[in-house]
Amino acid sequence: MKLNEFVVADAILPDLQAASKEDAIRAMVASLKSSGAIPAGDEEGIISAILKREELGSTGIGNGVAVPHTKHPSVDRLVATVALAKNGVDFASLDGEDVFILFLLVSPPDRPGDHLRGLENISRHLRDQTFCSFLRQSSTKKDIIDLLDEADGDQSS
Amino acid sequence: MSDAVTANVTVPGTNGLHMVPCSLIAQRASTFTSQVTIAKGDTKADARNIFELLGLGAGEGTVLNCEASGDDASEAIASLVDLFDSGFEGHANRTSS
Repeated sequence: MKLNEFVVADAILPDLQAASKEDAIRAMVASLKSSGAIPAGDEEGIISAILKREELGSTGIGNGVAVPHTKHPSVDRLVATVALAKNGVDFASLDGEDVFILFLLVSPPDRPGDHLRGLENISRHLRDQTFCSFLRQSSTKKDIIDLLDEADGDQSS
Repeated sequence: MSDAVTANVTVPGTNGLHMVPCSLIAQRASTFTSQVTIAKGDTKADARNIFELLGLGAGEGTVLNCEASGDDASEAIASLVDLFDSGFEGHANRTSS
């Protein structure tokens, strides 16, 4: 499963301005809605499901990275978006640091394997400092898409 | 340093090693001084590193090999085996909306 197969290009936010975790999540879900990846009527439901998931433990997993996510019946395949927050967002991360790179995932409840493969793929790239640093320097959607394409090309699976 | 201690564990639940179990494993492994790794075949993850654990992409029923070396290696392995056996204390299936 390649990044550009589930990251919705139109929904990428290269310059996210968010004052809080909730702001960031709202903006990213709104962007998925605007790009048509999720139905407008489910926007609030998806936001509250993601916020509820955050209550279980922050998805800010260190390295300046957060991967907020939920399962939701409104999608029939894994969809995701990427946001870069140049000023950082307080995500109550496990390492206490602000996050600058966010991947938000919405996956169908009946396909846990896809969700896992999406997380696997994202985390494999995000533990690579070079990938993170190039990502943080990206300033346009196109930069980000090109970088994801390149990462996809590097993987053997 | 004492010898390495190893044990095989099986991934419980229907969702595999997604973010909640990976966070729990990393938290648990961090409470020990021993180096702990979890391997799926040839792919090895540092048990304290969520990125590496998620990178295993271990689905339900996958058998993983845990290995610890250090002064509290036996305790670390026993604790991780407990965690897997507990099905991650019921957290594993709570991410659905």
